[in-house]
Amino acid sequence: MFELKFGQMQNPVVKTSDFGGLSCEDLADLCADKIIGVAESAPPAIREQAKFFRERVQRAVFEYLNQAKRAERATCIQICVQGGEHDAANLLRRV
Amino acid sequence: MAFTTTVMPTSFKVEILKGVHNFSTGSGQTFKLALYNNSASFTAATTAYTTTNEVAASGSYAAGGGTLTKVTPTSTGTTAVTDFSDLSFTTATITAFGAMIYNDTATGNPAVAILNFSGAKTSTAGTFTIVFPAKTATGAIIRIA
Repeated sequence: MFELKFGQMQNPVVKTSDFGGLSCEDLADLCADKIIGVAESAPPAIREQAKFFRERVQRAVFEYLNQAKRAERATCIQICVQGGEHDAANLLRRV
Repeated sequence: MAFTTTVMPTSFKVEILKGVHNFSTGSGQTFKLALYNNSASFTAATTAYTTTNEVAASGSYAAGGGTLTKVTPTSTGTTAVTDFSDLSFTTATITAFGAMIYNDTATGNPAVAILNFSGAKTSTAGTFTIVFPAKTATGAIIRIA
């Protein structure tokens, strides 16, 4: 009488990196995808608008991630300097 | 054999009706995600976690896989949905073709979902991140309509 239907499962997205973490661009892409989803079946005008908005979100997130990365690095450099680890501080400055 | 399908095990559907699984964030159970090589051959008939063909431990990836952070089930429209936060393994050298989500609390570690990565995904001393779809009525990883 009543039928429960499980939705068709989607393949997950996998992001990988070599010799370090994911790039700011990768992370910004993931963030934008979490915030904005656009169904392929949506009307063309809405789909285009959503895609344009997603690009703006991706660019804003990318910019702020870069700022966060630089701010965190500056904090780490100061921690190294205050701890007398000048070589480590110089290494971080060159990253 | 090869990793060929993204599928919800039939046993999971039965276990839902038996109340085996609890995805709530507070009182819920622990769910894990394990990665597998291309020799794994899971189907809808797969019932539980196995160590066979699981990728080797590397970086923050240990045998049994990583613990998933749950998102409490909710409804969107007339569809019930649940989700997990994205899962990352860091400083890891891994090649995986797919994954299994399983219930680490329930007896026998019953399988919840089989995920096909559609090919080899590789990290070398890097980060390996599994990204779950947005928690919507048409995209969430587990949905009951």
